[in-house]
This record gives sequence, structure tokens and C-alpha cells, in this order.
Amino acid sequence: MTGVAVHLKGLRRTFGTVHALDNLDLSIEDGELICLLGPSGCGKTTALRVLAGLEDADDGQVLVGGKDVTALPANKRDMGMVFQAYSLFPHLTAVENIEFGLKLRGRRRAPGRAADMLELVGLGQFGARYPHQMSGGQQQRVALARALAIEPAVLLLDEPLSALDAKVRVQLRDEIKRIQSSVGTTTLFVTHDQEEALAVADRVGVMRAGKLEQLASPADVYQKPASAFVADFVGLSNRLPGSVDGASISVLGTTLPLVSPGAANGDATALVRPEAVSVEADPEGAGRVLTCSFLGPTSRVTVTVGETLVIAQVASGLIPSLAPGTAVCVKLAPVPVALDM
Amino acid sequence: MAEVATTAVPQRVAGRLRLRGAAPLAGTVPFFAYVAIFLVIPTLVVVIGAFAGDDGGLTFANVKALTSGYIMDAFGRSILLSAVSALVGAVLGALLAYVLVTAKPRGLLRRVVTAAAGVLAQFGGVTLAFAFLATIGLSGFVTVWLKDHLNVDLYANGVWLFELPGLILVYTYFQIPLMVIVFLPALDGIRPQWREAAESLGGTTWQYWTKVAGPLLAPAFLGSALLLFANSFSAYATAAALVSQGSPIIPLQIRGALTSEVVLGQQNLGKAMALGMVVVVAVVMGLYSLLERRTAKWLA
Amino acid sequence: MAGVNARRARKQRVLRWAVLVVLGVFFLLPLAAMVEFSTRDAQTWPLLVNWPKLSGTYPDLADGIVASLEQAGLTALLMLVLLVPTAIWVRLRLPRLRRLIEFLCLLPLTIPAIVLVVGLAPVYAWVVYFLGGSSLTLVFAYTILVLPYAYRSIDAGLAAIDVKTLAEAARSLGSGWTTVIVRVVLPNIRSAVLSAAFLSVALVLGEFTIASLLNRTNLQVSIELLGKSSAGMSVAVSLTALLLAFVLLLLLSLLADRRKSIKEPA
Repeated sequence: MTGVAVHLKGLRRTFGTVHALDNLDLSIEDGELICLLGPSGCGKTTALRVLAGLEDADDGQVLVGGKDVTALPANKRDMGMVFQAYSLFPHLTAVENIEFGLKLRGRRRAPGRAADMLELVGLGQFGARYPHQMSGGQQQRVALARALAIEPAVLLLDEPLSALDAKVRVQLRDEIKRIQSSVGTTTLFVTHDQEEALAVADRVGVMRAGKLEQLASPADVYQKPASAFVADFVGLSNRLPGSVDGASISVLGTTLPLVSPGAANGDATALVRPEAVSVEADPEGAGRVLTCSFLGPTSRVTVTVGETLVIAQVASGLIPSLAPGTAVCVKLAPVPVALDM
Repeated sequence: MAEVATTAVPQRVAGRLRLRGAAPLAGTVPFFAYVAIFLVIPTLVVVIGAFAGDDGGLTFANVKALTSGYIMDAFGRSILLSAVSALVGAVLGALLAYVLVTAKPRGLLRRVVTAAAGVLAQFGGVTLAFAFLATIGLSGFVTVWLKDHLNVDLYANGVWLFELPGLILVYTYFQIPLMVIVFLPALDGIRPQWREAAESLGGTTWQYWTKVAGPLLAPAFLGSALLLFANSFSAYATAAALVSQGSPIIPLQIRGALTSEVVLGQQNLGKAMALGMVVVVAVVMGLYSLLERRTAKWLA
Repeated sequence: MAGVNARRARKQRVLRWAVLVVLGVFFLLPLAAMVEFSTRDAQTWPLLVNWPKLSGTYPDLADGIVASLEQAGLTALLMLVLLVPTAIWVRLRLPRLRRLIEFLCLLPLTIPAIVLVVGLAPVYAWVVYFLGGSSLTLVFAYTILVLPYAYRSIDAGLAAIDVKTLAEAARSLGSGWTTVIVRVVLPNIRSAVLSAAFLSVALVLGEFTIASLLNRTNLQVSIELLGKSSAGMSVAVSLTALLLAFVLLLLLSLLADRRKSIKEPA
């Protein structure tokens, strides 16, 4: 059963005085991969575990494929889950792990299907290996195969890549995206790594303190952040002083449109992305280069303009002309900005 | 002259090198000397003495005497006592350990019970025997209470406290805590993710225990039970304090052999019995370490 | 809404209390009985806490208590002097010997006290020849008995602090080996050493087999002998010894806890 819609309605979960989930509403369309992104303690893992049935919400409803499963125990919800660590049963081989869910349902085609799933995740030759004989990345692939083997209605991934090496992480996240697209299972992916979220998700849900701050496509979350928190959490932001006039703000001599107009006129702080800042050597410029870091394809330059510190992302070819101390002219691209609350 | 010089130099260099390699070893001499005197030599005395005849020559008579009726009976009773107390201790101890593992890891309950287990596991012996005498001995608290309030005479059919049934009961008192200490680390190694994975794949609690937790804990449980067996088999003090007449189990037979002033041959028989004990314990501990390795692979 | 997980947590709690109550009764009953038994004669406890009177009325018991305390202290000391430098030295300079040392230290676990005492008799004949027949000479055998527990504790402590790196750092800064051991390694394994000492003391205070069969005295031997003449007093002493050991090991676990909490900043 692939491609069901999931609705989390008004979920509330409190631990003492902490609101892990604060009236959370989330809808996942069938076949969609939604990433829940946020800092530790924002409630993203709690939301996933409530959906899985491993934790109970104090209030609210969980609907899967139109059916209310809130009162259903975890083992009766048709879901596949991959954990951050210790996903696999250590006493079973890869194939036996994958067959586990199938055997519980009395499927007689279990060995064949397990072999297919192993091929799907690219580990066809690893069937007889035990978890302690596999690397972290390989274990997570087997865990993914095991979760998908039972053809679940929903696939749940709880920070599956957080415990892996950087390079493996990038490889595996592309794998996960590819497999999810081909199988088409509705997926909820929880992570604290914003680059991961932007790369993998159809839509990103940024959470804070139990609430959903924004649920939008990766491009929208990055370019049109709904709040200062989102703008700050996803990518780098400069905090530049300016003054609001109607639906735009004047910063460092440039007028920039506001993402959410309606702010009071007067002094405010704009959140500007480093790649929206351009820096050019200019003997009459108002800015002075402070530091210059070569990061490979691009470089990061910090410039002081009066009392303000501005971080700019420039093409590495410009570096020779931007030695520390050089006078520069700072320009801002006319993209909409959010205000720091 | 030149030849003498060329051979002299390498000798001196080699000597210095050899000394440098040996110098650190000197630091371990006190330890090895001590262990040699107070551990290795006594072990050799037992092993060699078991095969020593009255005349000083080599003989198998002592070892053969082990198969004689009363000694075989004592071995049998020792094994029965150890097996039963190990089984009861293992099951109840595992249950108690499970209860502890579901409580808060740093909480008061776990710390107090673990400390109590540490004491009770080590401090058997005379203290324990007297505790049981005070409880269900002939004039013990419970014995008297049962007689006065429920008109039940615990010892209507004989004083079983000083025989095997009594020993089994008393041994359980230190076997359960020992099981808690030895088995708890294995239980700690069971990750919550495994239960959650089993559940999300559709497994019931029963299926989780029979297909995941059971197989994972089986080696640790078995190993711990073997450790309990070895512990019970080797125990002396408790039995010595409880049983003053007769020697139903092997350690008490050895006591008899040591304290008897009859013949030197008895001394060597004692050594043969001691050797027999070592063999049994060594086999059990060997199996235990094999199982430990399996457990460490899965639950480390 | 009564969640499934809340229900399971409740079932676990019920089981927990059931098991704790049943086993609690089983384990506390003998202790309660000891209290009851020892207070049947109102004179028992006042006599126990009155040392001069106690040593007058039961001189053998007093001797046994003193002997055990001395044995415990000396064993802990001898164990520390023998084991700690050796363990550190082997880790730093002779890693290939580690397996052998470990085997020797764990060997006493496979050789029961009752077997060891059979082989110790001739060795102790020599000990008596050189040092006399006092009960303090039991310390030599006791140090062997505590080896497995002490070694495991110290080894775990050394493993936790990566001795090699510490020693290399110290040596590169110019210290000699003595400085490395005394001023760099020892302060860092303080709690492991302390716990080894505690365990040794607890074990020695509970030892009976070797003392009894080598015809010497200690706490447990004197309690056993006393049991034949004065049951009440012997039970009182047993109870005291048991409670002391419990307090000792509780302190030990609190010490271990404190070390763990220092390592894991909440």
C-alpha cells in the first residue's frame, strides 16, 4: 500500500513545563517526502514518534489514509521506521533482518522479496553479513530495506544519517531520495541538518518549540523565510540595521522589499543572505575588508561598513583583489528580506 | 689484535641491548614472585599432590578413589546443590535485574538495590548461615511464629535446614544478588530501538521477546547461570557453618580430609578432591567465557 | 486518552512493585530475624558497643574483630603496593605481558578458596618458620583472593584514561618514569584505586574458609565459634558486620556515580 496521505491534527504533548508538541498541524500528501527540520528539543522527533505510535500525544489526532489511528498501538500501524543508530537486530544477518517483518505477517515469498529489497539498496552481495560486519552506512541501507520490505503506508526516518561520516551522509541521502521516489511511499524524514533537509525534501517543515514555523518547498524556505527564526536557522544570515518604510526597508543605501510587509515604520534589522551581498574593490568605498576565507568554489569575506559587520559570499576568483584592509563597495541584491524580531 | 677488538665491541653492544630489553621486566618481578609463591605453588601442590602416593611416587590411586561411593555421592550432591541454586538464582535474579533496568538508570532504587546486591553476593558465609538460623533455625523467628500462630512445625519431618534442602534455600540468598550483578550489564545492552523496530514491523510483545530479546539475552543468561553454578560449587563457609555433622558436599569432604589426623593418604585424597573441584570449575568457567564473548559481540 | 504506551508503562510498574515486594520480603526477613534474635537478650547490644566490657567477656571475639580489621587494612595496602605499580608499568612498558598478568589475576576465580587452602598449607609452613604463626600472615593469601576484583577495577580505571597518551605527554615534557606514575597516572585513577581498596576490605571482612582451615582467627571464625556458646551475641556481631559492609559498598557506588557524572556534563 503506497501513497497514502497523513494528517497530524492539533497534537499536544507536554513534559512537565516543556511543550514538546504545541498544537501541531501537519499534512503530508501521498507519495510526498516531508522533512521536519529544527534544533534539538523542537519536537520533530516527538512528532515522528507520535505518528509511529511509539509515544502517545496528550491531545490531537493522527490520520493515515483517512483512518484515525490515534488509539492504534505501534505494531498495528502500517509503518516502516529507520532509527538514528542501532537500527538492525544484531543477532540476525542482513537478509534475516529484512525478512523479519515479512515473516511476522506469514509471507511465504519472504526470501525472494528480501533479496529484491537488498538489491534495491545496492547491497545484493551482503545478505549473509551480520550488522557488526557492516559499516554504518551499510547498516542504514539494510534498515531502509527492512522498513520498505513490508510495503508500509508511511516511511519514517528518525535522523537516519546523523551518526554517519560526512561523505557517506551525502551519498546515502541521494540514495534515499532516489529509492523513495521510485517506491513512492509517503515519507516523514526528521533531521537537524538543514543542508540535508533542503537536498532531500519535497517540502520542508521548520519546527520550533513544538510548533511548525513554516512548511514550504526547500526553495521557498530558503528564499522566502516566513520568520526570522527560519531565516536564521536555514542558511547564514546577516543582521543589518535599516529603516522600514511601507513594504520595503532601506539597508546600507539599498531599498529591499520585505517578505512579509506590514511591519511598523522606523528602525528595524534586516536578515540578508551572504550570497545577496556583493563586494567590489573601490578606493572610495565605505567598507573595509576584515577577513577573507577561501572555501573552495566560493569564498567568504567579512567587511566592516561603519559599525556594521557584513558577511559576503563571493566567487573565489575575486579573492586576490580583496586582501584584508582593502577599501570596498558593498551592494545588496534586490531580493525580499525578512526582519529580525 | 684487530680480531679481538672486532669481536669485543659487538659483545658489549649486544649486552647493553639485552639489558635494556630486560630492565622494564625488573619492575614486574615483585608481582610475579608474589603470585608464584602464593598462587602458583599452592596450585601445583594440589595438582601434583593429587597424584602423589604415600611413598612419594606417582599414583592414580587417589584419583581412582574419587570414584568410590561416598565421594561420588558428595560430588553428585554438590552438583545438584549448585545446579538447583543456580537455576533458581538465575531465574529470580534475571527477573529482579529486569525490574531494575526498567527503573530510572541513576535513580535511588537501582543504586540501593545494586549496592545491596554487591554486599549480599560477597558476604555469604558465616553471617548468612547465622541469619538463616535466626530466621528459620530451631528457635528462629519464623519457626517460632509458625508454631505459635499457625501451629505448624517446620521440622516435623527432620531438620532439613542442615541438609541439602536447607543449603539450597540459603545458597539462593547469595545467588540471586550475584545474578543481578552479572546479568544487569547484558540487560543494559538491550537497545530500546530494537523493541521499537520490532513493533513498527508489526511484532507483538510476545514476538519481540521470543524473536529478538530472548535470542539476544540467551547467551548472557546461560553464561550467568554457569557463573552461579561455579560460585555455588566452590562455596564453603556457609555450608561449614550450617553443617557440623557429616559432609554431604565436596568442600566439606575436603574439610574432613584436611582436619583428619588419620593417615597421610587422606591428605592426598583431599588434594585429589580439590583437583576434581578445580576441573569442574575450570570447565564451567571456560564455557562461561565462550558465552561472554558472544554476548559482548551483540550487546556491548 | 489512555494511550497504549501509558498502559504498558503502568503494567511494568505493577510488575516492578510485585517483584520488589516479594523479593524484598525474602531478603529483609533474615535481617529482621537477626534483629529480633539478637535483642531477645536485652544485654546483647549494650555489651557489643561497650568495647572494654566486650573484650573482657568475649576475648576471642575481640581478638577476631581486631585481627580482621588489621587484615583488611594490610591486604588493601599490600594489594595496592603490588598491583597498582605493576598494572601501570605493564600498560606503559610491557603491553605484551598484559594477557599473562590478566590471566594470573583472574585465576583465583577459578581456584576456589577451599582448593587454595589445601595447597597453601605447605607454603604457610614456611611462612610460620620465617614470620611466626600470627593471624596477620593471612594477608598474603588474602591478597591473592582479592586479585581478580582489584585487578578488574584498576584495569578499568587505566583503560578509561588512556594511560599511554598521558605518559607520552608527560615524558615529552621531561618527566622520569617515577614522576609519570606518581604524579600523572595515580591521581587520575584515584576512584578505581579506591574502589579496589573498598572491595578488598569487604572481601577480607567476609572471609572464613582460609582463616578457619589454617587454624587462625578473624572476624568470621570468631563469630562461628561464638555461635556455639552465645547465639545472640554472634548474631548481633554478624548483623553489624553486614550493615558495615553495606554502607561501605553503598559509599563505593556513590563514588563511582560521582565519577560518571563528572564525565557526562548533563
